[in-house]
Amino acid sequence: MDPVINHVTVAQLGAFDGKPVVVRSHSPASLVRALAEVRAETGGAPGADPTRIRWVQILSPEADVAPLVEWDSAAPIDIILSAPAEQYTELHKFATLRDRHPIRVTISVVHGFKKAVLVAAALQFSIKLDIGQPDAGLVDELLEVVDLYLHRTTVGEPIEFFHSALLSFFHEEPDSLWRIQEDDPAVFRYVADEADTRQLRRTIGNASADPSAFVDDLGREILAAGGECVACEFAPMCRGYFKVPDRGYDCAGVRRIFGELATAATQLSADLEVQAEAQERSDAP
Amino acid sequence: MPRNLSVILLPTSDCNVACDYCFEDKTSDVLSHERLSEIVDKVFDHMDRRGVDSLMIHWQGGEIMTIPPAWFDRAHGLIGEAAAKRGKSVEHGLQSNMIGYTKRWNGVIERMFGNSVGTSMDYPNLHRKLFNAGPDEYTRIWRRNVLKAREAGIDLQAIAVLNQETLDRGAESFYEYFVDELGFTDFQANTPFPGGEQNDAKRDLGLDLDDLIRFHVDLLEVWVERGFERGVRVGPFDALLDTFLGRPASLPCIWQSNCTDEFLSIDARGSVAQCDCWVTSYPEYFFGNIFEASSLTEMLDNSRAREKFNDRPAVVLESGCIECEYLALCHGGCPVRTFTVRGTLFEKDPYCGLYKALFGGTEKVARRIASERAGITGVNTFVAAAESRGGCCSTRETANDSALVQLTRRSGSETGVTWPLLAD
Repeated sequence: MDPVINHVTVAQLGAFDGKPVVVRSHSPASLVRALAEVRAETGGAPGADPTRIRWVQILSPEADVAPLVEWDSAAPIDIILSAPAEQYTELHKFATLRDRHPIRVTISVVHGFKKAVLVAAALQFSIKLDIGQPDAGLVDELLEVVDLYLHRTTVGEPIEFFHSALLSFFHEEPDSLWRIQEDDPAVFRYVADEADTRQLRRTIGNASADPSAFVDDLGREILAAGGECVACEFAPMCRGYFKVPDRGYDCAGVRRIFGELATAATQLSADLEVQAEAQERSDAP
Repeated sequence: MPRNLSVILLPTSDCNVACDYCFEDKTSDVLSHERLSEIVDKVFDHMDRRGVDSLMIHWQGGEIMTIPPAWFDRAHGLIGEAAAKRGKSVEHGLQSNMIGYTKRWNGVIERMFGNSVGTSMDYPNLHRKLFNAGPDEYTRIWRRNVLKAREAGIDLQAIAVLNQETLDRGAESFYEYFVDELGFTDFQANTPFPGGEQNDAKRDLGLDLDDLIRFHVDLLEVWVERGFERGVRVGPFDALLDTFLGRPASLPCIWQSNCTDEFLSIDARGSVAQCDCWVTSYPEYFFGNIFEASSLTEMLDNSRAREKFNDRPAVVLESGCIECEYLALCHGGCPVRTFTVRGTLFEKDPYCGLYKALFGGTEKVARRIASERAGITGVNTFVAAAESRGGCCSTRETANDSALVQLTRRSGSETGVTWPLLAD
């Protein structure tokens, strides 16, 4: 299977025939129409070529959701909130799709984004935080969301990147933040159109680099330059993620976020050991 | 649209009793089988449009037992035939006051309703009355019929609407009445609301919030101590406790994220509205008439009244709900309770304070149960970290913590990435 997933617009879909794609559109109606045409071209059977359309992205949550309600598909739907402090009120209408589609909300980490996290979590949607280089105010807001993720009992779906980072610390198996955040060009290729360069911020200016080696090359380059990454305990997971695009970004805030997750994983392991010991005692004859 | 659609179907608005606080406008309408078939066809068309295969019909009135059992046998057959043709599955639930129950009902209750009936009684009964006699006689007949039905092997669940005297007598008496005296193992406490035409009884329905909270907290404790592990279910605590313990749970309709996604109600005249209270009392909130509409889907999609219900959850976020730690459980509460007390849909449920106390109390019990089962005592470092930041946790709670719930229930991939189709 082709390991590369291409993020394409509805208009670009035809140029990626047979390849795994994430299809994005501002309009659910045109998205549903385009995918119906693809299905007709591939034989018309429901579920034809199921691996090709990995998921769809709705770029304008304000759009009419009705075409998705009657969409004869179970494809995962990713709702993009680029202005979450205003767009959080749009999320309820997507709740009607939950039983038929996995739903994720990708939330830009801008001031006030926590409102969208609260609503999306309450609606049992998965969440991915689309995070740049957060300032001190945003770090505080992120720490509040970490606390919510770790301790609020009604939060039942993952909040990324926290969830995968916690798992990584818990299992002591370093994961790549680039992969978790779907920003590793070895796996995810974002095919831009003129109007949308949203996901290019971490790879722009590196267009000539080999996509499959991009993260490794960048990591080596950043480590070679010295600086705080050299001694950072979270570098094996982060791999310079927060040093792009501004290499001078001070990571003190994001290290606190990783620190909270790492501490939680350690404490969780300890608690589970206690639990296992108690279970053994109660099982003993 | 969920994979299951629920329809609250009122084949009659006729009733055999005269309860003070009833919200329904009574009429003598009875649905014909021809019109029932028309409703079922249009509901199945709607389900086809929305990709829904299973239907749950909650049969209510009026009073259902003012219609002969034979009517239901015929209805059961008609619906079954139509469902088979359309590839749908249909289940039926029955809600009755049991005043008109006789053994003639046993057959259809077994065949159509899985030998199960939901009924209602208050403790003490102040407002449920017969046309020619008061609450005592009502209670006597109800009790006699409940016991007869149970002897016939019918499983009964009860709904009790609370009144001030319920609160004065206390949770222990309430629990003992239903469980020890009447033998119920599944019952729930409902909060009253003044739906429909106003009268003196409805004006007196308002209960002191502190008393109401105290009653519920006590009832929770009584149930956990006496019934929880002995097969007794008391709503809404049972579903809440399941939720906090990470088990599958179905919370009451008053706490759905948007009840328009879950169900609708249709009466004998074909009026369609959100639930039984709306369809029997508030014509200005009807979504339309199913006999006049060529398509139920288009009627629902174009209904201005339904649009208000759809708008409500997002609007009430601004009433403080967005900051509430229990938003995921309540979503602003019940539209009809809000409307009948506040006169608008666009405020949060007037029982908000009670709900928060219920959620908090049940969460605490769930933590205690989880901790006991996990064999954990002493100080929890994981929780202590949260407390040091002013977090929410006050007891050792690992086995019920969000992160652990997610690690154990949601992580499809042990390697980390959880979004569908990425892990392969």
